[in-house]
Amino acid sequence: MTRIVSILLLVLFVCGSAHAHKASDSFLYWDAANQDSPGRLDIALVDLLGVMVLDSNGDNQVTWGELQDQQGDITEYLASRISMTAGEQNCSMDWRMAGLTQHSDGNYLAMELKPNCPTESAAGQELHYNLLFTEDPQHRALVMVRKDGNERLTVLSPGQRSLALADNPGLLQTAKTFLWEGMVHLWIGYDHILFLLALMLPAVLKRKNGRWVSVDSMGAAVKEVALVVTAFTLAHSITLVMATLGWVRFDIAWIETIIALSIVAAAANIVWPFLGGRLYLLGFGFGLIHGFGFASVLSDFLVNTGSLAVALASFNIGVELAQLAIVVVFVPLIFLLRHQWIYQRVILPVGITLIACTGMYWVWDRIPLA
Amino acid sequence: MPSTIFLASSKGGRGVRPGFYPLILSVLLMPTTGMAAPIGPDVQIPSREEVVLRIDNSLPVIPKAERNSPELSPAILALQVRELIQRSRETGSPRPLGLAEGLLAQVPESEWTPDVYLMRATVLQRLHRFDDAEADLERVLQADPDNHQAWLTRYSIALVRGDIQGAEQACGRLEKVLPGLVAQSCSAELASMGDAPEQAFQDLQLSIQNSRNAHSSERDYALVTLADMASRLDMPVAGKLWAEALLQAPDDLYRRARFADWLLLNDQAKAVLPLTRDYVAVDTLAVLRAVAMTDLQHPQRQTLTEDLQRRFQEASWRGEFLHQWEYARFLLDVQGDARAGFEMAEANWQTQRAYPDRQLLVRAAIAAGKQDDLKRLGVESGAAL
Repeated sequence: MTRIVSILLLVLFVCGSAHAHKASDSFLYWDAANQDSPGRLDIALVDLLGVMVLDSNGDNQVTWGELQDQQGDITEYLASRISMTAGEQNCSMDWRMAGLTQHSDGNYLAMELKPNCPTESAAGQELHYNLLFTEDPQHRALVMVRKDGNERLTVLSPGQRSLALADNPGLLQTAKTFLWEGMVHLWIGYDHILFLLALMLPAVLKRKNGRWVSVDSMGAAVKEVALVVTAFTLAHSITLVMATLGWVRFDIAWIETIIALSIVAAAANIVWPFLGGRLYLLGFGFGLIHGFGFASVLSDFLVNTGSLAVALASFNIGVELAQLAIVVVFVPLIFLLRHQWIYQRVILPVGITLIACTGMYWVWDRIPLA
Repeated sequence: MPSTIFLASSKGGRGVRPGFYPLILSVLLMPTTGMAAPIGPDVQIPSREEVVLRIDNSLPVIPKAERNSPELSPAILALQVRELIQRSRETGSPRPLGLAEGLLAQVPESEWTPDVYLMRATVLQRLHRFDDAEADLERVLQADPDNHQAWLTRYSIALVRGDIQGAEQACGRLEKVLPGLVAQSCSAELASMGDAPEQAFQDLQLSIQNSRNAHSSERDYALVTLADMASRLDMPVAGKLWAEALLQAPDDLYRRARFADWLLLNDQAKAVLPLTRDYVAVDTLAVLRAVAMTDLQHPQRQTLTEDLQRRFQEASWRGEFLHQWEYARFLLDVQGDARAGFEMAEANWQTQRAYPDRQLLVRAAIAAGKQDDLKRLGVESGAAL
């Protein structure tokens, strides 16, 4: 008997060219831009049949209804073999049966997955894939990761079971990210902008003895603004660094309130210069407080970076660049308008009033008193 | 970027309440992040009654529901692996080979018998891991020097690798441990590569006629060897021999493919269509069908071509190309891309050097105008054809 079987087996030895179908592959797609379900796993129904009982009524065919009824078991099976981590921490995974799809060798079950990782950033996220390798070491996961519009193909195998979905960013990437964050946070946390505007307005038109006196030379106006902005920058850089490095602690609610108050004060100072004409001192003094405000925003992003110095410097440079952009647009504009009736009688008084009122509203809104 | 803006806005307590400003910014930024199409092929939701999978013997896996899992002794292990190899052979799918590897890993190697090693050698051979297969055969033959199946396997691996000396050695041993039609087949096959090929063919033909009492499987093996020889020697009788061999075992994919291949190379593409109709799941036969359809300008050739393109695309993604011969054939004879066909045929030649591999390499080299490369590869075009 052995001899007969061995001869039968032999025939297939002659040449290996009659192989076909294909080995067991699953398909794993990852698109982080799709926030509802960044991942999708297509698993061959044939493969699933080898590890689970799918044909529950034993009629030698599997219907979509039978698969739907097994959703719990399928999800449990996948969850026991596919996991995700973010740094040292485990992420929970939501699996959802999306439907049926086809690859070259037949029907596949498409499962959507959404990880819930402890930190919102994708830094250091890894997917760990252990599907079917025990049953079939020839099994592979064919992976397609879409990032920034590009699609990257890779393969997971028994020798390579982990997929880095987002690497820890390099120094250049950190610098780029924090530079951008700095700019964005000056623009969207626009109490800083209102404060700056209030400081810049008197550079072209000063209130002297109850009258508006315009500044004659652009050079003088720019010099004044440069001095104010530099003082403001210097001050908030000092407190930003001190707070970020943990040298001083502060109560953010009070900081926010004082920032709002600084806007009211700067606006009032244009009409009644009760804080004196030396605006750079005003910029420096309140700049110290604004620095704490920037620090509280920056601290949210520092969780996921290993290079604090680069992050801090880039964030600060971002803030300065955003400030500079505002100055470049705003100063020539008010310089050109300074003699106009509409500017002196409408835009300026209304603007100052609006800035002051907004500041006062924020003081009221933010003050941490019950 | 929009995600980081939302993150910042969730802080609250400063400026506009969360949501408004970031919303404007994210809308402004949207064009730069792009609204890409969903990733992966389309997904449908069938009706509950729709049958999505039929369970029959053509499946490459044994359903979990039908599998009993006895204690895996080495003897049971060898039997189960043998069944999986058989299933791979019948379905033309490499999937059972992976499952066989998984099964083998369940029993520690310290408990393995020569039979288990023999089965693993067969699995490895099917996966084109010839060095590993040879190492297993060496273990079997050290424990059991007269194991004729190990010698047969060694012979066929040597032949596929173009190792004539190794094949001669194995065949010589076979004549001692398994005298009869199988040994006569291998010695005739080797002789047909020498100075008197026609004589070798006639010798084997005579041996088959004189061995009426031999076991049918041995006669069958000899017949397939004879058909192989006739193909290689470009004898017109090859077609008749392949037809006869296929009649003996209609389920055998190897002889069906070789017969179809012979028909194509002898301008009988029309006869390939019925031969391959029910076998498009098998890559080799699907490619040969596509070649026939291309030759015949068949109206359905486009569908099959697209299907094959998809298969080869997935195989390239996977990276471990088992079907280089098929892909080379597809590139050369369906796509008409001689240069790419030659490159793939050359890659195939690195692991497989049997007659069909040589024949394809030479054809592709001539079509691509790369005859000089044949010398570099140590292949003589005249001798092969």
